[in-house]
Amino acid sequence: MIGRMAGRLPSPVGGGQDSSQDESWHDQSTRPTTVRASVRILTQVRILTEEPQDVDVAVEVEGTLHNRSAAPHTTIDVIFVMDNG
Amino acid sequence: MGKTHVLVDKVMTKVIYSYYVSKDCLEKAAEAVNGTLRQLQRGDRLALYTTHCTHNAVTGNRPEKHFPLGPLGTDTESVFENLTASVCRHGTQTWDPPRPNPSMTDVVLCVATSLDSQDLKKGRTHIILLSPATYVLHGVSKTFPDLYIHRVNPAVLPFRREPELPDTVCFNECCKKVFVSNWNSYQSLPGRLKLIVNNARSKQPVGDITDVSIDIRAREGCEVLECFGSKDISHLRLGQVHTFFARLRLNKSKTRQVDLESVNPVFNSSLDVNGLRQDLVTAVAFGAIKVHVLDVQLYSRNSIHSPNCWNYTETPLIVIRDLGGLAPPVDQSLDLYKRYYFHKFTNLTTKLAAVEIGNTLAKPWEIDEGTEKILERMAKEIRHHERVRRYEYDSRQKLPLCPGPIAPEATHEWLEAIWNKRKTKRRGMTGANEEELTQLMDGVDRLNW
Repeated sequence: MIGRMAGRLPSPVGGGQDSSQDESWHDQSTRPTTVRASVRILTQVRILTEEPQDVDVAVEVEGTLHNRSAAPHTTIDVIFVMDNG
Repeated sequence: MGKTHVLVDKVMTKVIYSYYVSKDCLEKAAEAVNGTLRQLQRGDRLALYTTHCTHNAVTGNRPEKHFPLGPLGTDTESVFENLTASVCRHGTQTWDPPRPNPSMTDVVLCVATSLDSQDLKKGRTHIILLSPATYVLHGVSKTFPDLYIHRVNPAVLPFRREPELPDTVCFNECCKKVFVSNWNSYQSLPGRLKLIVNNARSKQPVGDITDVSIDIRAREGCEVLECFGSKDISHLRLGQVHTFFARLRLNKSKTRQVDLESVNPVFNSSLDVNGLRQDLVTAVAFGAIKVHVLDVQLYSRNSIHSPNCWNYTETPLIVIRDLGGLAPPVDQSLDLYKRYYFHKFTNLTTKLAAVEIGNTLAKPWEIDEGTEKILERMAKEIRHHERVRRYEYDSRQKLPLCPGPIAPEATHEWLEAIWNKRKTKRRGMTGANEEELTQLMDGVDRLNW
């Protein structure tokens, strides 16, 4: 599928990129931190023992940090408010 | 004589009936607070407030400060343990007399305002509101745009106020720094708080995920019988969780082994997540057979890209057809059913939930022990919700509104005495030791009956 799609796209720009640009591309701290949708699948059974077997599954989607990097200052203020109503 | 009578009434009211925060919920909140302290480090500051003052016969309906914002010290953990234990001992809002509650937005604004003069850390101040109830906090972000607010439900099931079941998470600008946990989907309380603290120390993300669409693509030997839950998520914020359930029918003999030689780049990239490829290679080495039964497909958009740009992720589900020499994998069924039953009962009105859970528990042979324990806890909470709704109907219909802005509860002298004793102790002068502190708190607790 990707091959078919790639065939229709123009060739990548900057075919003659120098290696120093490549290095900065791999430099973690210049990549922005974003949110990604992480998927986790939980199953009722993990080993199939019968034929057929009915299995319940849960799909959990969570917003997680991608390219996590420490903030310039890592100390925080936390205020707990307990609802006792 | 009259005093004793009031004492007896108060004891009875506290022991039998609490308002929407159940005893279990309050205890879980206390556990959560104490557990979170272990994630804090030198240089962090913390504070403790409650939404109500429960030290007197008539519940105070304004927030009360229990620990003024201060640095994490060597004795903070033990002080917090004592303070939270005291909060639990005093229980929750009494039924009688029924008093109106200010909106939670006003409560949070009140707490935030009282902290305003204390040079809060810019971009790194987090209010963790441990509440089981529906309180959309419109407008807090507008007044305090720098504050992060986390609405975390500590109860085994959240309490949806009347009218039940509307969607109660706002994704507009007015709530852009309000994050909700364990509300629509189950999230582990200690896990969530740990993550809140860790994420607070990281650079905040750019861009928002919207229009998430999930689907299950079954493969050979797998049939999707039923699905529960929504396949669409309008907004997915950092730390937000959405769960979706399915029942599959698997035919062992028709399933296909995971293709580790696949040339599909998308599938290959999904194997490179979380060391999955290595697991699969190891499995083969141990003579095990792992089969690829389905893929969860996920499409989404991110506001950092153009509106017609879609992100695609595939997550495979791989199960074992033959264990070979592998150690048996960790059982996930309890985690699964925690999520499933949370989802089920939060999507039913209290009345229907009570009936449903009764039916489920009436067939204990169909559920395992671990799940039964959770269901019993949920059943207890549902019964509590039933009582609370009846109380609301009977006694709270004609209460006047309690408009804001509100000021915090005046600090009890004995509480200030505790804070001062701690200050003296920290300065190295003769002050209270821990035992004295506990005795002092117990003593004044009794005085306030």
